[in-house]
Amino acid sequence: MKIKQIYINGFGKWAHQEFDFSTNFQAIIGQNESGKTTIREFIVSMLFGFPTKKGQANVYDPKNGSKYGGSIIVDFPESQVKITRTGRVQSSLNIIDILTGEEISSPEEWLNKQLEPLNREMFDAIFNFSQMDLSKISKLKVNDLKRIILSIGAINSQQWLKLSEILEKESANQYTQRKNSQRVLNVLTNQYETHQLLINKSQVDVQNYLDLENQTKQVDSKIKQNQETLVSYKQKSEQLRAMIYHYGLVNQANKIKEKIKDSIVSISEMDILQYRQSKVSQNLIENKLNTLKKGMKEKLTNDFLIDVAQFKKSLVNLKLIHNRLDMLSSSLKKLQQKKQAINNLFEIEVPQALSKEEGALISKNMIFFHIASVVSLALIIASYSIFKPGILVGLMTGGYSTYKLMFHYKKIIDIKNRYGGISIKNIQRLQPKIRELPEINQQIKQISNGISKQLHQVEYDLNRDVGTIDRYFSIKKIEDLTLAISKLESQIKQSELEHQNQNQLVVIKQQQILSELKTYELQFEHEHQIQQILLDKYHFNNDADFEKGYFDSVEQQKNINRYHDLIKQIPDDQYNKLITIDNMSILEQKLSENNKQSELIENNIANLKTEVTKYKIKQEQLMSNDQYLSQQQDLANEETELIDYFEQYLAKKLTIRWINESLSLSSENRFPKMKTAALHYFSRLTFGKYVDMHFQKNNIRVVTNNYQIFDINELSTGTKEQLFVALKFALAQVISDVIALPLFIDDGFVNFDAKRRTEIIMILKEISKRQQVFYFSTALTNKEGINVLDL
Amino acid sequence: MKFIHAADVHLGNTFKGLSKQMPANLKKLVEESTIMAFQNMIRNAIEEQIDFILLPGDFYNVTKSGPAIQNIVTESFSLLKKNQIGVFLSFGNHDFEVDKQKHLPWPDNVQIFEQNVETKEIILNSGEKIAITGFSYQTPRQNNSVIDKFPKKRLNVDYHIGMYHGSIGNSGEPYAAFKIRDMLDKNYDYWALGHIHARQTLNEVPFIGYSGDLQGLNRKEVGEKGYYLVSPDKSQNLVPHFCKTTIILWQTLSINSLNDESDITEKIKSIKYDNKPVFMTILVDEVHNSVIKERIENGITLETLRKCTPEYIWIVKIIVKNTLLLVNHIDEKYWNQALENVMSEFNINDYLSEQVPITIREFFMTESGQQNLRESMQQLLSHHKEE
Repeated sequence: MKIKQIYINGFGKWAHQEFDFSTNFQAIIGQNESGKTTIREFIVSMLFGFPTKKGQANVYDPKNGSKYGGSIIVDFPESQVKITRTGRVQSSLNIIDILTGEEISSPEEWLNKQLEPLNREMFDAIFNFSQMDLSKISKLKVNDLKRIILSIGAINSQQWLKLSEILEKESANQYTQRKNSQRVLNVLTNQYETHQLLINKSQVDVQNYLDLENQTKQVDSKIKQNQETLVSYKQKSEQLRAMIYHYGLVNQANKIKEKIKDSIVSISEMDILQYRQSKVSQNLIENKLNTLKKGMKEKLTNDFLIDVAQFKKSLVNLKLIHNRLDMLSSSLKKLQQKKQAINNLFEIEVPQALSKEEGALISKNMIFFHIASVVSLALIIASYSIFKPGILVGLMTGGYSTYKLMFHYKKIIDIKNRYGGISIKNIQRLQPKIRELPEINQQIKQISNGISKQLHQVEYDLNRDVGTIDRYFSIKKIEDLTLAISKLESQIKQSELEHQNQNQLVVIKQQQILSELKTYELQFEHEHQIQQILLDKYHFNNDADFEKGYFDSVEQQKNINRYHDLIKQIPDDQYNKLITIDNMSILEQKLSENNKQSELIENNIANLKTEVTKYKIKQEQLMSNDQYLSQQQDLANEETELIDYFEQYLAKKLTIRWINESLSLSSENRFPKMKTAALHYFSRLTFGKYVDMHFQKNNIRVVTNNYQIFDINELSTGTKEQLFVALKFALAQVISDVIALPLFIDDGFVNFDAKRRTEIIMILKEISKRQQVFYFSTALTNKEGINVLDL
Repeated sequence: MKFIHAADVHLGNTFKGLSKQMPANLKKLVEESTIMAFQNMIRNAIEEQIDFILLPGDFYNVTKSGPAIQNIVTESFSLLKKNQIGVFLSFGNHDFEVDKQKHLPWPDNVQIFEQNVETKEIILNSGEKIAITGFSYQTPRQNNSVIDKFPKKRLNVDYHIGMYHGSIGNSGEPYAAFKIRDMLDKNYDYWALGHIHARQTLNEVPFIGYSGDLQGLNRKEVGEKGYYLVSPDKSQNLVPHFCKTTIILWQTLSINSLNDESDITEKIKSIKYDNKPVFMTILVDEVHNSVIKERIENGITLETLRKCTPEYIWIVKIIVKNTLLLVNHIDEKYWNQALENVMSEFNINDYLSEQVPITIREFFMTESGQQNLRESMQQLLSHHKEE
């Protein structure tokens, strides 16, 4: 790279100033404060950017108010460009390709790429060279100097070494390998150790857990043993309780046994049943016999359905009356026929008889009277044959009729009299007849009255004597009477027939009873015999004995059964044992002792179970307290943290080594080349006094032309400076194979004598053949081949 | 014939690399995750009515364990016993010698393999006869070539299964090194491998492979984890089917370029909840914004993100992949070389005393520990560079 021209618009003391740097060796000569350093700073700023106002740094603001910035024309290996930067605070960069006239886009990037891998600091470190660096050397302590010289082969070595120092301090504060140090990492490590120990305790828990498991097992087996014993005790108790129960049964059985007597005859159920049945049968037969005997006392009966005598009496009476009435009726008919005949004689009413002579006609009345007497007589006769009191009636009737006839006769005469008005001829001729007629009328009337009276009487008498509500005789006419007579006759007949039948039945019945009586009496005797046989069988005298005997027998059987029932409940093998025991209290005592033992074992089991529970709880606790996992994770997290810290620590430690290694590597690598170049320059600067140099790990040794070897700290200040310059030139030369930037030498070599200064210029001239050299100085004696800018 | 192949149960595993700030409920879940995953498997085993279960090593995470965990194991195995399921247990490099430690009595359906290779036989309800050959670690290392001690397939059995805790390698390497060829030579029907936590098949027929662990144990063990349910196919080859048991799902969220923290939150929000908590590691390739870079380094970003992520997502860590800081530096190659030199010479005991727990010291000797160191170192330089 070559800087061909600069144009300063405004930078420090410079304004609107243009400088051309045509040659490769460009000297810029001027007194102090003439602006040499400003030019150098301008060039560096144009390449790497303007300085920032950090701390007390000089930013070269233009003194006359010109616009900050400017431009330079640079030859890069592949292009020639004009770089323009303006404005310090808001600076702008602009690069134009001079050959094409085109502006380069992304100029910052483009420029960085051209200068890669250099930045301002690296540029300063390699290509910038000032008296300051040299004067530092004289002030440095031997070790620092050694280091600087040693690391001169590495780029930016001083800065790296500074970092390494800082890291060294920092890391030393973090950790030390001394055990009881209170540094952060030592403390944390101790903490971690403690926590780890705590966790290991969890393994003790496992042992406890396992121990508890074993203890639980042991106790469990004890419980099992105890439970087995308990079962045997319980069985024993069971047996004893059974024995007590059976013992009670034995006692009961014995008591019952006492009640059983041989004297009591056992009566079979069949027998008692038979006896009782026979007794019942006999009673039944006896009742039957009594009933039959009562039946025998029954006699022939006179009872009729109706009062036959009364009926018969009424019948006779009725017949009498009927006859009489018949006669009266026929008389009446005759009279009526006579009357009719008389009436037929007359056209109209028959006149009454005119005289008392007509009394002749009374004979005719005598006949009537006889008829009436005969009738009465007939009645009396009839009554006499049938019923004697009937005579009286006949008499009465007779008397009564006679009386009646006479009365009527008189009346008929009256009537004849009344009929006296009829013509005389007729009357005379007919007088007898007319005279007859009233009498006939009278007679008719009388007879009719008699009939009706008698009928009425008969009705009354008849109903009084034989009538009932069901059987009322209504007798208004003679025919009614006839009917009543026949009715009575039939009823009498029927009643008599029935009566006869009844009496026949009674006779038959009594015959039957007699035969039944015989049968029952036989049966009665049979039952009696049965009873007697049974009584004899058991030697009883009577019923009561037999029943009592039976009751005793039943009781006896019951007792026997109970006895056997009780004995049956007792196991055979126990019975023999039980009868040897004197009393129950022995058994009860045994039982209570056994129960006590059981209780003891039960308590024991309960206690053992409590113990197991305790173990289980402890195990549970151990389990729930088992923070092993959690603790381990905590520890892991702690470890993570610790690793982070140690990583930082180690990174620092290793970085220190890395820096040293890098520096030593890079310097070592360049040293063969650098050594040649440096030896060349050093030899020239010392005018051949030193002929060799040795780069060692921590030291550089130089060899004189008489083969004396010197350590750096054995060299004079001047020689140290010469060695430094030689090394620095050598470095710039070696690095120029990567990038060849102009070398800037600012006012160096003040401590060099004129001879050496000339030699330096010679050397720089050689260097400028490979890379541009800017030499800033107050004076330059030999200006040959050098473009000098005199300020 | 049906069985489970479940290696690396790592019961009681403690999870490294988690923060103390983790909420208590998550911490509890983390602590119990391996146990819960194990119990998931036991439940499934009973549901599936398997014949037996093979646990080829690292059943416990460590040799020693607490009563609670032992109780769970004993109860679980007793439950299997009730269901007539056999247990074949061998110990690995993590749980070596467990049977020599204080432990509750094992139920009698549990058969434990001794240090020396031995073959156990089991006759299934179906009448099938199975031979199982295995061995247990008695030290955390098994440098001997154990595979040579395995007998050839027994001829009088229906199936012969190998249980092997180890990794492919050469004889003399620490974890019972073997070669696939060695296993194939034995003519077994199935090789139930343990030790490698990532599920992988080394050979299809006969199956030789790792079932992986039941639960991812750190941020590198991402994705669903579980066991193999193995049964014969039509040609009587034993074929494994993967069954999930994951309780906590580890996931990595890769972000190429981070300009804003919201880039992360947006991505996290798009993750769907699958009924299990997700432990998320965020891997950022590049951070442009120096403010965000600083926030990430100070842990502020992590804290902020944890506050705004859904409850089921826990952000474990944000890792920024540092492109080498000194790229394009003139001396890049020297710095790189120097770093390699420093790391290859690195011996933890030069820096830390024996008082520092061995686990921590060992961690820095592991690849990931050293990777972390490299990253931190680069950060230190990068900070310096910016200053």
